[in-house]
Amino acid sequence: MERYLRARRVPDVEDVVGETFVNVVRSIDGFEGNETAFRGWVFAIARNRATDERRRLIRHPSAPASIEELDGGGPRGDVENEAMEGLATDRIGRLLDTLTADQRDVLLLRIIGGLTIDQVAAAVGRNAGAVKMLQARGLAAIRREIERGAVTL
Amino acid sequence: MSPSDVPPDEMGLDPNATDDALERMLSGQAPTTDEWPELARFVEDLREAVPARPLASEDLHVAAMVETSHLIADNGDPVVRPVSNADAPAPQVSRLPKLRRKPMKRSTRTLVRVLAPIAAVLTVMGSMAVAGALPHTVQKAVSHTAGIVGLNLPGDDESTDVPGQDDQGENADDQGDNNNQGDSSTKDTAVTTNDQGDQGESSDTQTSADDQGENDDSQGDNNNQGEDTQSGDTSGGDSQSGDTQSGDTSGGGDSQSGDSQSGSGDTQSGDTSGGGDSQGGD
Repeated sequence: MERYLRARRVPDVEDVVGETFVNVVRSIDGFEGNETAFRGWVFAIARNRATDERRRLIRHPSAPASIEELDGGGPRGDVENEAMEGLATDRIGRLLDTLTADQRDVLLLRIIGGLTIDQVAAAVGRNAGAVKMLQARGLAAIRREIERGAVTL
Repeated sequence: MSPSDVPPDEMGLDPNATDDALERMLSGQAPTTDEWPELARFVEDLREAVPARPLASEDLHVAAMVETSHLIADNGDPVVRPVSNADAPAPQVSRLPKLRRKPMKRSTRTLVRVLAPIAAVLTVMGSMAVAGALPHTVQKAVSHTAGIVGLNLPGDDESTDVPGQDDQGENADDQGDNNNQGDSSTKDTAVTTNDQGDQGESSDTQTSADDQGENDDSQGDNNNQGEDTQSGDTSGGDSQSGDTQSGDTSGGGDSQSGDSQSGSGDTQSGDTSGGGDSQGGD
């Protein structure tokens, strides 16, 4: 979940993760389903919290230094590898920016979160067919961008 | 429409591509086909771009979760639901602990239904009995019954509640007024008692006593006459009256002694034998 939130570029991932788990504990009595549904339910809470955090930053803009920047932002040894990783991250980020918000959410939940179609459907509040459609259109858009050469992997 | 419900030409993929191939690629497993090498590389790079890292404040998150669970538990709500209710909606929502009513047994319920009205009636009647508000006969019976137990309730004393006796008292007072017109206060007291008997004309049980009282009254009168006799009258009529009294009651002894002082000893002997003798002696 933390990876999913970082991939969505949520500003304060630690706070959102903490609020997500607190909400999980607070609302767990209303949860119905098995372990598979629970995974999708937790990601739904995390997604909603991330959305709330983004709206909050829009209303009250600020630029605090994140923990990642303070803790792990500096060089860790292999500068070349870190530079390549940074470039790859930038390219990935640009590819994701070509997608719509829903397509990006679906692909991130599927690839980073490791959720199934049904779990993603539960997390984003759509049915399985709609999730499959968003997933296919997102992958097609990425493929087109790669073939067009705008982004080199 | 492909098996994945996506138009085949929209992704530019093989229409025969199965969902399994996509699932394997997206889940990071080895692809079974080389049809989408760009997409497979994108997925791999995406995973590597966001590596898993331990949370810097993981302990704080756990502490926040535990604290939240404690707050929820303090409010009476369960933190977790039993496994038996996991796949089905909970039949009820837990709230603060509360006392649950235990159903009463049928026999006990019937007994309560019978005894409750009886207890209510007894309570009302008991209150009325203490206040003395029951009808006379009922009050008397209740007070008598309570007296057996040791409770003193009004209505147990007959003298206070008999209406006829009350009337006598009132008449006695009236008689007292009449007696006040008499000669002396000491005699008034005696006459008052006797005159109560006179007023007992309405009472059947005291008829004989009343008659005696009348005689007593007459004796008193005669006594008064006897006093007059002692004052100096020596007439035979006085002695006759004193003789008559001696024959009736012992109280006439006073007058006889007076008579004997003023009259002859024959009169006394005649008194002993009877009124007729004394008159003959005169």
